[in-house]
Formats: sequence, C-alpha cells, structure tokens
Amino acid sequence: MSSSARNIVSIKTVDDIVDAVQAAAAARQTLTAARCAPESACQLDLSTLNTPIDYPARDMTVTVESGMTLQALGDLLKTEGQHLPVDVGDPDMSVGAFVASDLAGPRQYGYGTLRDYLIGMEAVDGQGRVFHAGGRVVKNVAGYDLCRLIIGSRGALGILSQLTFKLKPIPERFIIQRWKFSEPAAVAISLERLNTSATRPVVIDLETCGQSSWSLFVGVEGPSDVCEWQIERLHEEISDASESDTLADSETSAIEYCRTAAARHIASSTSCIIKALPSQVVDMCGMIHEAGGIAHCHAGNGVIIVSTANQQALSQQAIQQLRDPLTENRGYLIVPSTNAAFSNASSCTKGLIDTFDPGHVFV
Amino acid sequence: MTKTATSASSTIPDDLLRELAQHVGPEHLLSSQDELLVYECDGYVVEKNVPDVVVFPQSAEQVQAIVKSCCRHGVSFIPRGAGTSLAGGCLPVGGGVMIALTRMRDILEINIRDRFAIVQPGLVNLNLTRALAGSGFHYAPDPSSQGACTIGGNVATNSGGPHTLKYGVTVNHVLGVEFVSPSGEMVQVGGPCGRGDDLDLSGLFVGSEGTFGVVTRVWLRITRNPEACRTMLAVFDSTDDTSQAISSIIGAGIVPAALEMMDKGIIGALEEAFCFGFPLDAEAVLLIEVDGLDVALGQEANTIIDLCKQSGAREVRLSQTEEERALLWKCRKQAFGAIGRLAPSYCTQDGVVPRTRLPEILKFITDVGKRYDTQIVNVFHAGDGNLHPILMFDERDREQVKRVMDASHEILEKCIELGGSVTGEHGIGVEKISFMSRLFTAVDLNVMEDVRRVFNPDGNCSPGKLLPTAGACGMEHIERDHPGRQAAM
Repeated sequence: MSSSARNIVSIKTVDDIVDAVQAAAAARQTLTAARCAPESACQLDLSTLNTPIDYPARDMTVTVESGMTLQALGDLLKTEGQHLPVDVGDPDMSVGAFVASDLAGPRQYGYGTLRDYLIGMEAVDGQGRVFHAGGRVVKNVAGYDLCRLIIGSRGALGILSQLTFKLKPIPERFIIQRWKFSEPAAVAISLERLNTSATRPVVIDLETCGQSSWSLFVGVEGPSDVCEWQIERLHEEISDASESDTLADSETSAIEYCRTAAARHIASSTSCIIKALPSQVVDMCGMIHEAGGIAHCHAGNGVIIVSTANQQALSQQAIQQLRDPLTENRGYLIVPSTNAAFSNASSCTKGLIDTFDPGHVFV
Repeated sequence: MTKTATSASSTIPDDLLRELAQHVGPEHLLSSQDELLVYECDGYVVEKNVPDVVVFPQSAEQVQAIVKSCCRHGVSFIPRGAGTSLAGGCLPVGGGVMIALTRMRDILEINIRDRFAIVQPGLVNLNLTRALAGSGFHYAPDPSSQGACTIGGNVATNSGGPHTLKYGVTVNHVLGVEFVSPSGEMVQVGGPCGRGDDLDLSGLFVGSEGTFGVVTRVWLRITRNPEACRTMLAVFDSTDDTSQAISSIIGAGIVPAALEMMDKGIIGALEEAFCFGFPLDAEAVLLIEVDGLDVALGQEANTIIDLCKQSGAREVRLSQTEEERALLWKCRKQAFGAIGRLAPSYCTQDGVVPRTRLPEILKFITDVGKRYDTQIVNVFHAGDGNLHPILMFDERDREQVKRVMDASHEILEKCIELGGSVTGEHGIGVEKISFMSRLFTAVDLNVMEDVRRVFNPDGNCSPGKLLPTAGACGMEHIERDHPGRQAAM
C-alpha cells in the first residue's frame, strides 16, 4: 500500500482496504473508492486489484477482483464467446464501480440489470470487516442477499474487492433498427404494440428533442435468420413511422450504440434521470420538451435520461414538475450532480448504512 | 415414537388471545390442540412443534394489529403460507403466534402495459399465471409446488423451479414488497418502478425467510409468454452420459428454458403413478425444454438432439402434442408426490454444485446411499446444478431417521467441497442452520446478524431461522418453555 500527497491510497490486496478503512476510522477521516471523490476524502485506487480469480467457462460464471476494468472483463469473456450482458458506458470503469452504481443501458429491456447477474461478492465495510455473500453457483439462497443490497449502494455499505457474475453466451447477431416519427401519438401506439410484439426485442429505446421529432430504436439478437425475421415483423407492426433505417447491423456497431446510450447515465451533461412506468414515457417526454429538455429513453423500462441542447441544467421548477407524476407509482428522479447519498432513504436504509458504516467513514 | 406436544396455550397470555380474536374474529383463530397439530410442521417432517395459536388475517391492517399485539405481550410470531417449505421455514420454534396468510389471496391489480401485478401473499403461485391466461403473459417462477405454494412463501425463500434456468428466480421478478415489520410498522420497499432511489431493499427482503417481517403485498413482474416451445425427453443408460449431455448443451451456448434430470429410482415411481411411458431400464432421463420464437426453435431442438446422441443418449423423444408435453411436466412437477409409493417418509435436499461437477456429486450420492443403506432417488434442476436427492425412510424408525440425517449431512458437505451451496431454492429454515458456519465466516454471520437486527431487533419474528446464532437473541426463554420434537429422536 502506498500513498501520495493527494491522499490517494493504492490498493493491492483486500488487507490493504481493511488497513485503509481502519486508518480512516481512527483518524476520523472519510474514504471512498469513487473516482470523483471530495478533496477531503482519502481515495482508494483499486486499479491494481484487477486479476481474474476464477473463470470456469463451462459453468458460465466468472470471479474477478473489483478493480478490473469492464473492458478487460469483456475481453476475457469474449475469448469463450460469453458476456456480461449489461451495457457499459465507460469501458475504463472498474467492475466494482459499475456494481456500486448499478448502471445499465438499452439492453436492460431484454437482459435485465446487474441485479440479475451478480451471484457472489466480497467487500470491506466501514468497520474494516471483510464480509462475503452469495457464492459461485448460479442458484444459491443461503443467507441474506447482500449481493442485491450492495448493487447500487454507491459505496455507502462497503468497498467491493471481489465479484462473481453469471454469464450469457454472445448471440450470433445483433441488429438495431430505427424508426422516425413526427407525432407522439404514433410513438405511443408503436410502444404499445411492441409490448405484445410477435418479436422479442432486447432493446426498445426512444430519443426525442421536440414534439415533432422522435426516433424509436428496436434491437434484436440471436441467429442471423431469426434476427432478419424479427426485423420483417417489426416493419409490419410499426407502421405509422415516417421512415426507417438500420442503425446498426453488426455486433460492433450495435454494441457501440448501446455504449453511447449507457454513457449518458454518467455524462456530465445529464440534467436528471427519471424512472417511470413504461406507459408514462411519452407523456413525460412531452413535459421534458416543455421544459426545454431532450430525452433519451430506455422506453421499455421507463428510464428517461434528460439533458438540454445547451447542456444547462433544468430549472428547479421543471424538475419538480417532472417529479410530481412519478410519486403515485414510486417512480423517481435523480439529479446526478447533486446526488451523493440516497435522497429519499427509508429508515431501513439509514439503519443499514449505520450498521455497515457506523463511523460514517464512507463518503 | 414421537411425543405429543405439551398444552398449546401455556405461554400465550389470555389478554393476547382476546386481542387476537378481536382482530381477526374468533372464527379465524385456532387454539385447541387438535387444530394446532395441522401446523406442527411443513414439508420438512423431521422436526415438529405446535404453535400456541394460529390466526388467519384477511387484510394488511389485521396483520399489523396482530403483530403489534404480539409485540406488546412479548410473544414471538411467524408467518406461514401453504406450509410447503422443505426446510422447516414454517416451524414455530418456541411456539408463539402463527400468522397464516392463506385468507389474503387476492390479485389486486394486473397491468399488462407496464408488466406488473400486485398480489396478496396468500395467493397460490399458479393462480397468478391462471389469471393471466389469454393475456400473453405469465408469472415465470414455477416451483414444482406451484399448485399449492404461495407468493408470500416464494418471497420468503426466493423460490425457483424448473424454468429458472432461463427466467431467473423469484427475486428477479419482485419489484416491491409491502410488509409489517417486527415492530408493527407498515413498510413498503420498491414498487411498480422497482427499487426507487434507495438501496435494493426488496432484493434484500426476498429470501429473508420471514425474519424481516410479514409480507402483506407484493409487486411482481410478469413475463411475456414464449411464442412456442419444444419439449424433449432424452433417455440415457448412465448418469455420466447424462451429465455430459448437460455440459454439452450449455457449452454450445444454448440456454434451455428447462433442463431437468430424473434417475432410475424416481422413474419407476412416476411410471407407476402416471403411465407416461418412461423406459424403466434407463439410468436417467433429461427433460429438456427450449422456448422462444418458433422460427428459432427447430434448429435449437435439432442441435440439442444431436448433442444428446453424441453424449450417448439411447433415444430422444420430441413431444408431438401439447397433451404429451403437459403430461411430461406433470410427471416432473408431481414427482415428489410419487415418492409416497416408495416410502412413508422422505427428506429432500437442495444442494447446488457447479454444473460441471454434477458427475462427481451424483456418484457421491450413489455411494452415500449404499453406505447408509438408504434409498436415494434424484429429480432435479440439472441446468442450474441444483440437486434434489430424495432420501427415503420411515420417520417412526429412530435408526432410519439418524441414517438419513447423517447421509444428508454428508451430501451437503460434499456440495460445499465442490464449490457449491447447501440450498438453491428451499432456504436454510431450521434444517440447515448448522451449515451456515460452513458456508460463511464468523464475520459474515455477524454482518448478517447485524442486518437482521435492523429489521428485527428483538428477534421476535420467525425466531430460530436462517442464522445459527438466532437462539441467542433474547428469545431463549421461549425455547425452554416450549420445546419442539423431532421425528423419532
């Protein structure tokens, strides 16, 4: 373990994490593994904690150290024709940060999120305790599901050191088709049809920068002939569009689309991220237009990423107007630039954070 | 022979009984000894204990009132659905108040457009899929007991089933949970939009085996029906060949909807019960189902058939009609019921191993059966590596019970040794508490104790479950006053 004047601690082993946590607690300092750390906090650099630990490809699981980058993980899995089917916005991000942030992109519609793939973990809590949950088998209900608890916990419960995922085979082909609309009503009808489509898309995304400018992206994966069959069916089902083209017809270009879309979740230009019901997406986009915003949506999941053309933040009034229709269904709106801890934390969450980090070491 | 439990109401104050009767109505409260015997165990018959009283609330408000009364009187309580747990999850350790949720069985909302349903905990699992018939959707987690087990119980144990290989387990389909906390507070975590801007508390709640509170409402994700399916029965002359076929199918990048294995022992019982046409001389059969777009399934099925034959399958039959498919699945899902033809009692284990270690564990199970002179048959989720060795015995015979317990213990130890777990879907309950210290470090268990204390600080909700230190949470006096009993031990 080594440190510098910038209070960055380089981590090589899980014991280093324990030492750092205990030292921070003793000195009443704060500590984080996040890249965008407050200046006052000690920052842990886990980039050298990056080794694959176990990859029994025939079992379709992989265990890696948390500092491994998503790019390195993807490259490793590709050698066996496998992948972790959760879209990556920043390939240089560490696996640990990815899990702590619970990021996902367009393919969450067809594949789910990290919640559906993390099966085991090791972490160090704010008391310096090294704890584990789950295991290395794809079905396991022994003990409390701390894996799900740690996903999206934003570093509030512990510093991840090791993660085990279950994997999927890489499909033969991935196509993304785009349809353009000039009327929101036609978009809404198409989204409704897609909900019971004869096809089984893995991506249903929507982009809109004005009430007369809508682009619907639908992605399908699988054997080549099955993909082409699905695209033909989709053309029949999405009949109210003004035009259509193939946005991406190779795995590389389709993955690139997904990466760009996923990157918006962490872009500095993002004003807010909304989670609504899928049926609310088109109406919410209308409200976003009125507020001067642009919406990129994982429409099949009700996720809306809001930005503005001039990259200015939306006004507080606009933010509140967007929040109001979300409350009935427990949807939510996050403003990334202001959100550190959970803005609407329940008493259970506060109790859990106090349990894992009673000294409030983590920031 | 087993002893009859002591008088039921000895630890329940009369005031509490009166309050409970007021909350649910006297007609929805059981307190006589003969009535309570029905609730002395669940599907795990090795350990039994009667609750002091059973109440049947009909609403979340009644559940809350019951819990608050129990808190005021310092009496423990335990929720129960259909009692199909196979790990003693419903065993009322130390007695207490059993809150049976079977009257809370409504479907409150189905939203096809947004793909969720809101249900009460006592709803039978299969009834949700039945209610969705014709909509193009179903509820994916399908435990073999789905005709009886309840959603609340599924949430408690994070239930799986044969189709979890492709569709995931219960937690992958739970969007939110409303529950009454052990202190009597009504809490909602998650909802139709999922977790909310919060920790994934519904994800944590699923699989907590009733130790975090009593479920009163669940938001569930519903899943598109596949357009079509192909169901095959592959017949093998050795379990090694069967395991090889499993590995080959998965290794080919195919993710079947289901991949179930049944061995010779259970095949005989099934054939006698259902007259399907199973080959009685086969060592094992694989039930393989692929589903999805019809245009894709022909090729997938052909690939699977080829892989099975390359692995030594004697034959591979493709179901030709929906009736044939339904009968095949009936055989699989009612396999445990067929056990009654083989022995008066059975104990099933729920170990998991990495899929590639199946040949080793199957050989080991055969060896264990011989060494303990115990008949063991196997029917399980081969695609997940989730085993269900079924050990047969007579619970009236003390010696047999001991052999079965020891044999079970060895099998689960071997699962751990091979890198697996002791429970893939049934839960720890009381049965497997002793294994927790084999799976987790002392620190891990301390952390889990701390987590439980956030929800259940007094340990009054489902005491004696899941964690080995559960008995040391302030409820020891109940254990001493109201001892349970074990089959023939």
